[in-house]
Amino acid sequence: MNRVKKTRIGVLVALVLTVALALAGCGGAGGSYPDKSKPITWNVPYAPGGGSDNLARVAGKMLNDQKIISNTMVYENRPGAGGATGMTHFIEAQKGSPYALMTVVTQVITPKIRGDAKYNYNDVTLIARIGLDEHLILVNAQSPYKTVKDLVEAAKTKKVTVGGTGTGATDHLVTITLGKVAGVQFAYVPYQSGGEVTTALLGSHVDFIISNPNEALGQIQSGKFRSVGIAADKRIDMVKDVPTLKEQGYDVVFQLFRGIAAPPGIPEDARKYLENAFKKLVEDPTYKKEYLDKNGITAAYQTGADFKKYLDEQNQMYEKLLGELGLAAKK
Amino acid sequence: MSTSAAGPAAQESVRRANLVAGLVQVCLAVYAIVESRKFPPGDAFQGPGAGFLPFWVGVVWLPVAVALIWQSRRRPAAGESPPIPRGSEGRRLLLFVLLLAAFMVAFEPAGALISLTAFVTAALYLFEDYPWRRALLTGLAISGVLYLTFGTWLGVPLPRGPLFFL
Amino acid sequence: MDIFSSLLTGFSVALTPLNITLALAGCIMGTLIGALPGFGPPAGVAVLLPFTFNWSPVSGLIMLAGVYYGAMYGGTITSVLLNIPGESASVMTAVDGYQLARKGRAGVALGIAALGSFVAGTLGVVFLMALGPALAGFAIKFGPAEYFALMVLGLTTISGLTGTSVLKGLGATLFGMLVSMAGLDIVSGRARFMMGTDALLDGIDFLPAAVGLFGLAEVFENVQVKSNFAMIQGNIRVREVLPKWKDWAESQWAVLRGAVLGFVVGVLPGAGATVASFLSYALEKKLSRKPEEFGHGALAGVAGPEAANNAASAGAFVPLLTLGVPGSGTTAVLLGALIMYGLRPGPALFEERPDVVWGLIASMYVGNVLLVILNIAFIPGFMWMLRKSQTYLNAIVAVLCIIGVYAQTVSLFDVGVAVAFGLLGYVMRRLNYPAAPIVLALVLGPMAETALRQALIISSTGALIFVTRPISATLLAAAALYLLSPVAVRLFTRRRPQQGEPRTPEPSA
Repeated sequence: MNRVKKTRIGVLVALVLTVALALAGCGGAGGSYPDKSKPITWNVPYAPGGGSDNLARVAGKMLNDQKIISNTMVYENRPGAGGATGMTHFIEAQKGSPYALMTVVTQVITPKIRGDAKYNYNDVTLIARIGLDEHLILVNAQSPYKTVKDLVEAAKTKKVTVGGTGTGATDHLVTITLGKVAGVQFAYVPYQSGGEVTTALLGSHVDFIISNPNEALGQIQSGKFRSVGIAADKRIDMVKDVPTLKEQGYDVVFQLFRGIAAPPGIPEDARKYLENAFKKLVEDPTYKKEYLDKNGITAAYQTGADFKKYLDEQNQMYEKLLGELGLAAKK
Repeated sequence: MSTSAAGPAAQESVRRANLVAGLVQVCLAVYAIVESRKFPPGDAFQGPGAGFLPFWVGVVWLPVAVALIWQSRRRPAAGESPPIPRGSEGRRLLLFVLLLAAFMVAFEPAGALISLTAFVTAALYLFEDYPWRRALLTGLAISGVLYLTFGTWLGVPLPRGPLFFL
Repeated sequence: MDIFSSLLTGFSVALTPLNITLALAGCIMGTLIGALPGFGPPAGVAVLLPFTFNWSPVSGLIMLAGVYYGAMYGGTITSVLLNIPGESASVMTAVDGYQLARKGRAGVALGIAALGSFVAGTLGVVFLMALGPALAGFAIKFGPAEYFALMVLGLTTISGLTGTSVLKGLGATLFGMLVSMAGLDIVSGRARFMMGTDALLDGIDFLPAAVGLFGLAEVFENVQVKSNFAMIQGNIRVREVLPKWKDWAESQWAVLRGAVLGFVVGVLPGAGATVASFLSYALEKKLSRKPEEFGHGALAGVAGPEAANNAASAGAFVPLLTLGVPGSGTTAVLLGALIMYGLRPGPALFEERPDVVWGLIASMYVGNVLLVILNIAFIPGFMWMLRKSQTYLNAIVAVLCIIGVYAQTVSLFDVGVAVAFGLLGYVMRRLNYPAAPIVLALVLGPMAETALRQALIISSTGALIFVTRPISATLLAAAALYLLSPVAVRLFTRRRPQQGEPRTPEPSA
């Protein structure tokens, strides 16, 4: 090809590209919220397969299936730093966008207390609290421990190990609290995800684990794990014969709240819309059946405003607890 | 790899470079050891603590680095050449790195598309002797493809700069 | 046999026109995404997941499996042609593959990589079917002590892998380990080696370092003189550019060994394709009759690692399907996908939804076949593209590296890190310091450290735990053997160093 021809082709390519770019950019003109053509991105600051990820995917699908929200749902996992990485990205990169949602658990409280993040629940738009997750104490079915008392007694004479998802995670806090109440110390082995913790118990590398019911569901049902206690106020339906820690003489109640948030600075009509959408979701009977019951989560709906008050209380509790552990950042 | 001659001057500078590399490693190893002492030691329940592994890495590294310094006194093996190139090669490399730096500085304010185009155009014009028109067109084409692939298709938030309408 | 009838059911599911089309679409899109630096199988699966909702769960999973494999093949392409390993599993492929490309044998490298991946991937699926549940039991036995021992084995083999000077390899490995420890330590919450700035709080990621040390360093090297890439010589007739029987004969054992090694290692959650790929490289280098070729374009050095990382991908499905625990980043995303479809992977899934499980397994076979055909068919196309773009290739590689890093991290700081590593890589090449160890140590270091600490917390006997547990002790013994073998060889065959011969330790292990 000679120079002239090459140049012409080059010009043509450039023109085509410019037009293509212009067209690509033209999508998404204004319109009322929600614009059905825009996908809603769920930001999950934890690894896939975990409790938060599960909530996001199930809730997203249900919103679509029950025709509460018909936008396409997209999921992004950004694990790290106990949820701080994902939360920080959410707040900074999605500020003002009503097309992004985040699953809320302790990442909106603990990282800021520990000094790992600049933000907490005051920096997001809380939409709703949609459930309270419980904590099960699980041992390998082949282990000699049958009750929490067994574990406590053993810990008095030798090292009893417990697997969890990381320093400062709720399972760590439950471990510490239980230890304090029972007067012993457990050796907490930090892993990086619920999956690793489950595998560790399957291989009997640790003596027990503390896990949300849904994360260990498969193993409980297949008989590989045995539940010896639950850190709840009363027994839950999913594991009816598991006594609470209170019943066993250890006053430890620790519930993990699960909620939904939108980025800061979204328009008020978007916030109201989302709040209504989730209210409708939790009232839907499929939600109870497919999500709450299947995962052993207690129904506990709160509007965004009430959720904030609840989080204020939780924040105080965590501050105290983490402070006692020496995990709080110096102010 | 390189086209530098293997004369005695070059060999001397390689020897020096190997020596410097060894010295740098000694410094890093010492840094690792010193820094790691600042962390609290662990215990049976908490595990070894944050300073454990860095300390041992430093401890193992120190003799290796010293051995490398010792080794640098010998004639360099085949294939080693002075790390800082001279002459036209050095100039080209320096210019390229500067161009890259300019690109990075311009990336967010000017936007991905503009800075990509500018970079590729400049690179082709300066380094491959493209006539400037052809360089510009190629630059636009390449940037366009990259922007479409990463920005539009894969949703990467590439900065838009002044072209906010995209 | 029960397995065969289940597999046949699986094939009947997988081989419907719709599912084949979906698998093909998945393969193509996966390859495209995998070829982009910074986008590997996890990103590919995550990006394309929404598309799959239009179809039934089984079809959706089949498409995703295609994406998964496609992305692995795609990563090989950029490793070999552009020396940009987009994922840690592709690093070893880049080492020898790119050297082959520089000698004009890119087509051979790609072809052998594709064939090796196909054979190993297929074998991996066979192993998955036949040995899956049994291996799950094996995987569970791997606790922190065993993982640490495995990492130690890995780290010791890295130093001897590339380059001729073990000392320099060690230096690079140790440097990589130090770099891997910079940043926030998860366990204690303390920041290490921050050099006075907050920017390193997140540590240094694999991608900027790899892209810099391999891709950008190469760019810097090339920019010194005007382009006269000798990557393609001669014409591009299919026969010339594809591997010949002789090439396959040279590589077949490497592929078989890589497949077995890769699968076993892949079964261990977290260890995965990266460790498998360079254990395979180390093995091949040790067993080869021409070890000096390694690092300069040894086919076995491409065939082995490629086979290993494909078999490892199949292996990663074992913990996912049998235990419900994801064994790798991609299987973690697949786990999320399964949950969304309402399927709970675990022992129950095999019984409740055999059509899903066997359909998935069968589609993995299908995916492998499609991919090897696609890849080999496209080799002449790639060669042509390469030839046409020779003069602006350098610029493309440079911007691709940068955009690739930016795409994953959205941080100019990380781009700067990549450029810094690029300059470091340039200097290192000049001085014969191998670059691969840095990157591999960057990946293995944190895993080793985590495992070490976990093991010591669990242990009631302090550091003795590593030798009292059989698997861990075996792995550590293997590491010791590897380190000591050149010494033993030297002790038993005394040689006098001749005048003027550089007295670096023997081309190692």
